Amino acid sequence: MGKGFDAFGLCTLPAKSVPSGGLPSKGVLEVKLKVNGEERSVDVPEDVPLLWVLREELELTGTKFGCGQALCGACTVHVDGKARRSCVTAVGDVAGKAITTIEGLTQGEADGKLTVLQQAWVEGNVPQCGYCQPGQLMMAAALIRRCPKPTDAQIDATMSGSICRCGTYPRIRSAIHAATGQSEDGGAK
Amino acid sequence: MSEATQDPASSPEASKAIVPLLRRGRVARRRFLLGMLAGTAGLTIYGGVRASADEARVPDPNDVEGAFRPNIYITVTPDDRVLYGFPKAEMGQGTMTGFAMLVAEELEVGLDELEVFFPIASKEYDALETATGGSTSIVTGFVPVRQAAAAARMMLIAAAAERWGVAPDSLHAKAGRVLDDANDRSASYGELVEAAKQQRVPEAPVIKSKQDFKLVGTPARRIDSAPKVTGEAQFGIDVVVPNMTRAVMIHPPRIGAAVVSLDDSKAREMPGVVDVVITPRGVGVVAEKYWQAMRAAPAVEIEWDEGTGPSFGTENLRAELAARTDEGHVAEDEGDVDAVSGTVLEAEYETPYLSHSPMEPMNAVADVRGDVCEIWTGNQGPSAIQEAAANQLGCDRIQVIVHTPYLGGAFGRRSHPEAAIEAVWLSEAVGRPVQVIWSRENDTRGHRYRPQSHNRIKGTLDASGELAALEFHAQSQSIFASLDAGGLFPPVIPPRLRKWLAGNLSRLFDSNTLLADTIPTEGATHLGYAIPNRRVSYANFHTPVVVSWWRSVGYSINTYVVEAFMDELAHAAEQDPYEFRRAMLQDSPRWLGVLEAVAEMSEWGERELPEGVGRGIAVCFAFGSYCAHVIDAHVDEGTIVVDQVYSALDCGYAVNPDLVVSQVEGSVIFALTAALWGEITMKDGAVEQGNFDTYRMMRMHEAPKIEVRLLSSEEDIGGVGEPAVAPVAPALANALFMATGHRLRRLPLQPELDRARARADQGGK
Repeated sequence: MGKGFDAFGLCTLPAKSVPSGGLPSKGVLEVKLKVNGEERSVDVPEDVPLLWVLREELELTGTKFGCGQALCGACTVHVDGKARRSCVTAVGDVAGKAITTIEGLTQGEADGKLTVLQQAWVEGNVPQCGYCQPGQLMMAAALIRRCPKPTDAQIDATMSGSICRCGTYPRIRSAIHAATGQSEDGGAK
Repeated sequence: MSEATQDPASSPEASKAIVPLLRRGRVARRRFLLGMLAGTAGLTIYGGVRASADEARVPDPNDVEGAFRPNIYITVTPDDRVLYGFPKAEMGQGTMTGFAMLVAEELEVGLDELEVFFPIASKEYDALETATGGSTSIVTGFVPVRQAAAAARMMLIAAAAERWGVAPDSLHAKAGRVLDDANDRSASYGELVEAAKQQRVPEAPVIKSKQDFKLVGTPARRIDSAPKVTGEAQFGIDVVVPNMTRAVMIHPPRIGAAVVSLDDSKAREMPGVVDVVITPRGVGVVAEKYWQAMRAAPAVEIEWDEGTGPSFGTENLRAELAARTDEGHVAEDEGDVDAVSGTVLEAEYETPYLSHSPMEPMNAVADVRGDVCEIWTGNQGPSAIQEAAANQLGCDRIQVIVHTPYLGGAFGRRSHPEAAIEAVWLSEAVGRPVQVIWSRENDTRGHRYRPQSHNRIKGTLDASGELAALEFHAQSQSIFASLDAGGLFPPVIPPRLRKWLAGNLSRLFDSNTLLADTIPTEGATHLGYAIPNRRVSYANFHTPVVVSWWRSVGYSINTYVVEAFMDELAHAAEQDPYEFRRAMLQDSPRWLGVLEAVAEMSEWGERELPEGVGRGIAVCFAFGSYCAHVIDAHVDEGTIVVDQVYSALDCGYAVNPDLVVSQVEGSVIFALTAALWGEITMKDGAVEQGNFDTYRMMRMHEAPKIEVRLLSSEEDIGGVGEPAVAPVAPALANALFMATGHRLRRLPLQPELDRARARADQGGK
């Protein structure tokens, strides 16, 4: 019998490429979550990645799967207001904490209204395919909470973790500036 | 459907029974659904009947009772809704907004009022019409899309004219109403639906001339932005259907490897696992939830055979191509290159295999049930998927229903139906809907790469420093010869001929005689430069690697070769690279237009560049449009830094100028990723890259400033999604020559620069 193959490693990249989803299963537990302000409970092993709990157990599919290894940022959510990569976050680690997904980003806005960031994205024709944009927006939202008028260097430092294959970076930068006003460095890179 | 697989939660024993049947080589023609043909024997579907809509789990949104449907695209409901079934794929390129603007313009409704949706593939749509690629959508849709909307408008006006007893000419449409200004009355489209249905469909719908456009030609906002910033937009990966299972695919570790033996006993005992299925493309681990499948997959023990290319490696291929002397076939021959004498310059250029790597990994949901196979997948050609699935299932393509949600990027990759076919196999095996989601590593290693190439180029400068002759010889792999899906061909071709063509496509192109393959030389032929003697040839080669269209296709290779070499020639002729090109483009106004535009934008030759910064220029004609870039770049402790890109595009006419600009920006960044780092390498038949740590993407802090100018030549409309990719690599390579003195003739440029610097450090060159 041949050696076992990791579905994600496909033999050429050992150990490093095994995502947390491939770890041995622990027992199933009831995990209590607070997602977008609502109490939710799921019966899953506590080491299941939050990404898949959101997408499959709670059917919140706005949070995207891109790499499974915290390399691309498509799966970014907020945990207690801070950006986290849900693809490598065990659901047990965030039990009881406030989780916000892209679907919950407009909470606090008047009914049906977009946040100032989302509005800037729409006005600036930022999205192309749009797949990475929930993650980009969650990163940007976390950035401007911490840093209300980010400089280009601050935008670079935060947003460089999120890959956009369509190349919308210049427009993401402009939209952040448009949403927050001119930064001290004048805004233009 | 066969008895053995009908049980929804098929037991391990039951599914084991089908495993031997799925052995390699037997699956392609096997009829999975034994009952399928019998069940539909009396059904003749060809002839425009939309047989599949009734069978679909999700019907078309335009199936509204009492609605007015002058054609398959436009629907007006009695309650004043106006729906538009967008037949193409929206993968980021903005065609959905572009087409909606064309419809809103002619139908006289607000862009916000139009409800745009993705219709299911059906016989009513032509296969080519639903295929998305080659930067052709706006080019081919600019008139017919408007005609479809104009027909609806004319019928609504005719209905109102009939009601009021006035001439249609005295009425006009505006904001979803037909107006009779003379008599100060109006009717909404909804009120006119019943009467409109009775009107004759105009044979030649009257469309507006460009100067009458109010919406088209403006930088309107994308209609898909709002759902894309709230998480509402549904991509293929987001599809959930009742009773759906999820699957991880364990693909072969080497090209073409098949399963020799498998022990799935441990995996089958793991929570949620439904089945483990051997398929011709590896092993599917099917579970209730994807995370359960992810956990179970490593527990499957598999022994693979050596595959179809156990010794294949990209380094070996490089060596073989460097030594190969096959003359191949001539694509362009002007003047007599052999009769010219002067200063001869010769060079060899190389490009690597490239993965498309859209952000949304390949995925699909398939539900094989009864007489129907229903598929949800982001795709660039639903008819190809219908055809491929029908071939696998032994059914008619009309029994395959394809839903196309938003595509999370594609770049050519989603022209190919592998993930959908895997889902079909697995759904057939487990008797339930199955969603297949590729891991990022599956995606990177999933083949369908841009071909590796080796090109030779030779130029002769005459005594006055003018380019008297150019010879170009491409060695590439035929993409057409890699195609295997009969779905490529439109339904007008009889099924038997389609099958024959599909089966013989590879041979036809491999022979290099019956069908001309333009891709290996596109970007080297039809140059705008006045070069009196030219010869362009190609000699395709074959490997076990499956190759594909990759955004800008042959141009992404050949424009690099031609335009980097133009720089070499200019330097050899001791001329400015811009002026050298400009002198040869005097009779090619649109080439010249974009070239002069980027020179002006960048203040070429007029501005001192910061120390260490190099500047390169390149120009091309691709997909009906003209594009030039000037790129400024420098090297910081060995690392290439791209500072600024100036781009000019002439696509004749821009339906939405801001979205055209965004395509140029995106193309530049996409192409910089490839030019700097993009490289799929293989050794012993295995791909060496996996996730984004080994297949690097440009990120925010690495992206340069990009300034774009659109030239409106009022000429024929050209493509927009791809042309700006092609001249990026040569403009950057040329900038790096100026910055470093190293001539970089092999992509990607960063490792090539590293090698050049290492060689220089060792004293050689």
